[in-house]
Amino acid sequence: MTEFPAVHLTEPAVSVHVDWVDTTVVLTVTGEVDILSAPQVQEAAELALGNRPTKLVIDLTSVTFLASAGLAVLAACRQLSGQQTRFCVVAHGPATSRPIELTGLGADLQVFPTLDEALAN
Amino acid sequence: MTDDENSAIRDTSAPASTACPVASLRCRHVAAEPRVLSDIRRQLATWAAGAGMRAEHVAAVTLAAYEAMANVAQHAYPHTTGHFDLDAVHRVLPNTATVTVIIRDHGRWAPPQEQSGILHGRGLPLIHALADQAVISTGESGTEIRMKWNLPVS
Repeated sequence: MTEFPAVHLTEPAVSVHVDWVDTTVVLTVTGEVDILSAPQVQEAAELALGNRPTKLVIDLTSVTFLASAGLAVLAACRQLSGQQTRFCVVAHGPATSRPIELTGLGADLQVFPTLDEALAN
Repeated sequence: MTDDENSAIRDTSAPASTACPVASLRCRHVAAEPRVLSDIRRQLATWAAGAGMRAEHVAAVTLAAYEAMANVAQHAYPHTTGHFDLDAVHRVLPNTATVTVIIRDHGRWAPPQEQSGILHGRGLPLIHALADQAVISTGESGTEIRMKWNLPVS
């Protein structure tokens, strides 16, 4: 039995961009949301919610991989948003909206295929 | 459903598997650490695309395998870093093809209720929803997660 050879230790492959428009905050997430990077998204969302937005949008349009650790972040954001913040998710395609729907999380979240629709609703 | 998914369903002539099987991906004694799991997942995605799988199948295989590996890291070795083996096997039959991914660990799984509740516990349901067939078997020496996909072949 040999050690698995070709392991490249990469940095967390996610970036989170935060944009405020009036009392709405949009978190644009880019890259891969897995066990390693999910806490980074959660931290950004908690910071944003600390400023009491009326609406929090997490835009996953540029996310290429969404693991259950990322789904747990979305569920946590839904909880933390409570009554005072409207929480919306932008997701489209097999990498993001499929796992959201397959786990039944879609029933608890407001999911929109585009950012424009999430902002308009 | 996306336009891509729609067109993939309409275009039934598009193959979802190469006509010849690709060589199996065999990863031995992999450290059950988050950074390593990301690397193995990317290698599996490249392998699955090489087998001719469509984007939605590649996404399903890589996510299911990742969740299986993450379960090993979180449940089989909650306090230490253990190791696991991964095998991805592509088989081509006359009218169909299959991809089987097997992940074996040598740890003892922590009871799942430790991680249950609204914020956790989506890994195993995801595996069962994503794979055409998923079997998890636990023995004296560890746990095996075996996932299988059936693919049309041109």
